[in-house]
Amino acid sequence: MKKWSEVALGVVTSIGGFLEVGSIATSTQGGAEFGYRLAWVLLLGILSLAFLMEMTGRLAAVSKRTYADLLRERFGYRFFLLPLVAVFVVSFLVLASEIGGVSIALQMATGISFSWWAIPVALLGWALLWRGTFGIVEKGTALLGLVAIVFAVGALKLHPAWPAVGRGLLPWAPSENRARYWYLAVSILGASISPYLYLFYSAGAVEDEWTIEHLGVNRVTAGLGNLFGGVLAVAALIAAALVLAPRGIQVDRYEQIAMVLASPLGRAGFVLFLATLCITCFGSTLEIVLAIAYMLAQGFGWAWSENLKPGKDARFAMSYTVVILLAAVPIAIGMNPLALTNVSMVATAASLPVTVIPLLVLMNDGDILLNHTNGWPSNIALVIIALLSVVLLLAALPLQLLGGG
Amino acid sequence: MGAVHLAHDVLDAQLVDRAQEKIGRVDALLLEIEAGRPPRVATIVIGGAARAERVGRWFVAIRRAWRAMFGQREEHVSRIPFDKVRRIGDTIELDVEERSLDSEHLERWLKEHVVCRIPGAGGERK
Amino acid sequence: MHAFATRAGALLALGLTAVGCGSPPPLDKQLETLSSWTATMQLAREEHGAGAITTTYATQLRDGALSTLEETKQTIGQAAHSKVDSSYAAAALDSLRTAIRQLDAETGS
Repeated sequence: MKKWSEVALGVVTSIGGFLEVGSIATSTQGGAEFGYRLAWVLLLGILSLAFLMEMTGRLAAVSKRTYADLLRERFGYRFFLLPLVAVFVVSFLVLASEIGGVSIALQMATGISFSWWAIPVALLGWALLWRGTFGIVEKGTALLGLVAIVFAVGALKLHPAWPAVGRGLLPWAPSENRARYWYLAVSILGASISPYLYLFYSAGAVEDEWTIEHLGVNRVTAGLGNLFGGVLAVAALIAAALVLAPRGIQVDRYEQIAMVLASPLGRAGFVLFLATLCITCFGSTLEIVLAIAYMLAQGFGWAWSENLKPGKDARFAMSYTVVILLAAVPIAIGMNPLALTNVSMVATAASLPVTVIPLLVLMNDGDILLNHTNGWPSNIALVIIALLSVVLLLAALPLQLLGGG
Repeated sequence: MGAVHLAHDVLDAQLVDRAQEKIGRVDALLLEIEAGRPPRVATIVIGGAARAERVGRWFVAIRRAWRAMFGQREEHVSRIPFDKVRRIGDTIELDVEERSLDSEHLERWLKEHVVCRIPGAGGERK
Repeated sequence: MHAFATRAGALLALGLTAVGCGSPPPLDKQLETLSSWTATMQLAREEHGAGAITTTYATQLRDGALSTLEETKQTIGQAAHSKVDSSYAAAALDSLRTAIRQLDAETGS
């Protein structure tokens, strides 16, 4: 019985967890500019993330160590610095964007400019981490994150032509506006496949004391959770395709996105959109800053856990304190939140090789995974994802310059 | 203890003390080489300076400059004789106490001067 | 020596800013942006009329449209190279101006 409640929690966490400022921004931009034609990219991102999370979760359940632990232990300190720096820099940018997401939501609700909200939001996040346990952070954001279902409701109310949506789920290449299309494709993948997600998931598995008994829970959580969450991102894309695209509205500012749910669902849709943006971005803020602190603590061997009082893991606690406050600065000084988000999504996509390729080694190491190493289907998926990550690295900078809009 | 693959099982492994608390990772190993005898693993080294050396001289220089910005000149490194190793497994258990380790200096300093000045920091578990 | 360095530095800074600013986006992209915001204003007017969005929010949309209008007014002149282009540009700017005014009328600002 307990296992099923864990599965339920894991799935629920992923529902709201998948959707955050990056997915909302990139899915709606994609839908506004290319209708359903980028849906297959979103699907590719969802599937890749599901595989990667299942794997880092399996690592934690069998070896009782997180992915970051194993990166240091199996590859040595010198190599470890590479993913450490890459993840730190990229996650910091995404973190700043999430704080931007919460701030913009609050601006849309109150009229008070977003830059004023950055520091209060960071302080609230810090206070929750300082006093809260892992369970509280996990369950709280999971339950509140369910508000994101409003995207599915909105999309359904707009009566999409399902055959057309189905066609959008098949790989496609445009004959014009190519740079812009592939640029959005790369940012959608960066929004979906974020290293902090599978790093955090792995650390969470250790926080929750998963064992080999949890491998089934792991598979269901990683698979179903991301599927449900991904469906919401597809719903956002569909809604934008039906509300914005026919009118020729392109998303230049976050403020334009709210109209996507206000159109089909009226005032309720508008309010729930703001709630979704606020809550999912806030949840991601907590997740990302913890992911960064986890990686530092685990890489250097410090004491760490969200269930310990800060006095027992001072370096870990100070890490998340400093990082969350610094990450509020870009938005506090008035940097354009949408531009920040777009850049951080592309940077994320480019950084993937350093956290995907090591998995090729770890997931086949019998010392770590005993008899739970990758079967050939998982290995094939991993090789494809690794190749995809290299393509993204090579394409990111040219596309940012050519299609950055 | 049988054959232990140093690079694979010891270097970079998580260290825990008598109370099973995490006290860092094996940042370096010092071998004792005496003429006429096989080399033996003499010391486990924990500390940022030891880590930095493994990366390269350029990294050591950057690290020194970074620390100088904060007025840090003293290195806090712990050198633990290998005979203090009680068990080698997923983690390496050492027969030491966290309090006696110089490498945990930053942890103790932050706890005393920053963390415990902020409400809600004390106690064991939340 | 010091004077020379200061002057050279100022010239360098000026040169870098000129290069960094780059050329304005192509005309069709700017026209697209203007029509996007015109449509945004029209949709906002509909939604506000239906009570779906708050006046506070509609005002923010309007401010976004206004600042886009101001920015594009500056840059579109450089991208329009012919009389035809200039007339398109003028019409697009006008549409946006009208749409903003209509939203203002709707929200009562």
